[in-house]
Amino acid sequence: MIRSAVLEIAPEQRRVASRAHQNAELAALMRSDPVAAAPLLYARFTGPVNRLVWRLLGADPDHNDVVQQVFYRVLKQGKYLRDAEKLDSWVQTIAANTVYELLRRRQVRRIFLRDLPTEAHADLVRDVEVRDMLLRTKALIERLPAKERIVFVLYYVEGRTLAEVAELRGYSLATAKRKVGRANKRFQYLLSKNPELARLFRGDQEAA
Amino acid sequence: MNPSSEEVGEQFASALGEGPNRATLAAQRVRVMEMVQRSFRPRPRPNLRALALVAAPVAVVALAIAVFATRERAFDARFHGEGIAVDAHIVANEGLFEPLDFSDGSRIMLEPRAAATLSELTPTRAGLRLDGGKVLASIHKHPGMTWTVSAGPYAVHVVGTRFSVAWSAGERSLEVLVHEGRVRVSGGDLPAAGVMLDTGGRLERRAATPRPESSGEPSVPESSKNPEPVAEKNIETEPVASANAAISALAVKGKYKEALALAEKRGFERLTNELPENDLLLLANAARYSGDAARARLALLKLRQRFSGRPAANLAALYLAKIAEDMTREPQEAVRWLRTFLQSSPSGDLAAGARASLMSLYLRSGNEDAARAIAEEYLRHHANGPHADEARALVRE
Repeated sequence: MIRSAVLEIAPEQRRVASRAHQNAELAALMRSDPVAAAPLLYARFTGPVNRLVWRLLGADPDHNDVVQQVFYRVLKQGKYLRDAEKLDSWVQTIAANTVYELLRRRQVRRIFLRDLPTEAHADLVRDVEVRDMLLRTKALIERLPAKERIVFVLYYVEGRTLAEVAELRGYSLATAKRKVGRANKRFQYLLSKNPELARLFRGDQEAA
Repeated sequence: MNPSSEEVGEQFASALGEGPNRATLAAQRVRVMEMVQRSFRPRPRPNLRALALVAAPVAVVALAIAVFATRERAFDARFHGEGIAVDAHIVANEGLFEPLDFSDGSRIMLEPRAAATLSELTPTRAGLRLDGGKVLASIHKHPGMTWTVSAGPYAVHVVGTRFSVAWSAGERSLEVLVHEGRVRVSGGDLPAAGVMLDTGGRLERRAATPRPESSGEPSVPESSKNPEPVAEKNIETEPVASANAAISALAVKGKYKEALALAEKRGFERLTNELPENDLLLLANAARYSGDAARARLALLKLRQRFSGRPAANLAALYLAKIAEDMTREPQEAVRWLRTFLQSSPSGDLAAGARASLMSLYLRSGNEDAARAIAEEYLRHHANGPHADEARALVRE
């Protein structure tokens, strides 16, 4: 009788239940035995964390260090996770905050010290044209203040919704909308001062 | 009118991709697991009852703590994912930046074709001898740990920092650039105490070529020789360093026209003879992005002449091809530069792009036989490359 009851559950509900169950198990393991939880945590989140950090930082040479820090914090703060169902967004929030802290430190250094060149991770695409466009766009994005840079990348590069941006950054929906709008305005202003780069994007569209 | 931020974001995302490659992720996983072992391994609980029962003399306990605190920790280095020992010689492949990773999290990134030897590796000292090319070092700070990168007669002593060292054995030229932290450079013709470089500091030297030993005649000590009188290569004076840094700073911010204007004010041609490799490439690109083909070409040709064989010189050939193709509309010139590039860098992702450009140029000029020949070459070198389908279609025609 129990078996037939299980079979009657809709597939989607089974998937949701399964994911929630997995989250609860993983959260419990993180609290009790972080060393045992680490390989499972890494296997589960290496994709989303690497992608988010890669895009937020723009294929930065410090990418691997940041990812390592993210996983350290997730394990260290695992005991504070109240709602295991929110594990996915919680991990991504930690990733976004870790990137934000790095950007803030760099911004402070740039104010007082000599500017450092825009650098890229060794794995960044090698095609010279694409790499050109990437580094030039990245140089522009780097000129946004850290908070604006993060919301800009989350919204326009990662394609997150305003609600997701708000959740990841701890904003209200209205605040997220305002910050995205401000970031967009500033980025468009910077782009208007770089007509060559703007032409590059338009040229790609014309060819497409 | 500007493209929308959505359009920029979409193209940026597409070009960025999803993240680092598989090899990097595999190495990343190892480091994360090592970090977890270091940081989260549970410590054994003290047996309080046993301690209460056993009265240990304070001196013995203090000695045990001292021994524990100074115990040698395992410290290892890995290249291509495998452990390497002292005196191991490592070389980065053509077209690839390859990391030398240390178990404390430090990393020395070898630029394409850079060659080095691990000269020292103990729990308190690590040393790398740069035999040629350029490395970028990211060293974690540990009390009591000394790092040294030596290049020719010079040595860069590190505590915890990010810096790059480039050494050309042929020219006996050294370039050190500190991105973060502080290093001390000694040896060669530098003062005995060495020279300290802080964040943003740069040092260029050219060591005198050692006189070959002749029978019975002692060689003159290095320190008493006059270094080769290349005024531009001495330790940069503050005003010159500031000017060059200002030009580079404008260029990296995307203020290309301003960077070019400042370079013209300082003397563009003089700068092409003075600027170090990366700054000269920045200047060339600033000129290119500003639409000044002549100045861009001048800087790139100088780059190729002064830094022949270096990765930036090879890249310059590609940029010269782009100038010829997009700016001055000289397809034959573009073909010539692409072929020049492929002679020195026949494989790798940049070579794939160069061959794709050649295919396109030949097709546009109506030279289908040449295009087909390049397509065959493309498929030999880059069978799974981004333009492999186009190459196959061309070969089938």
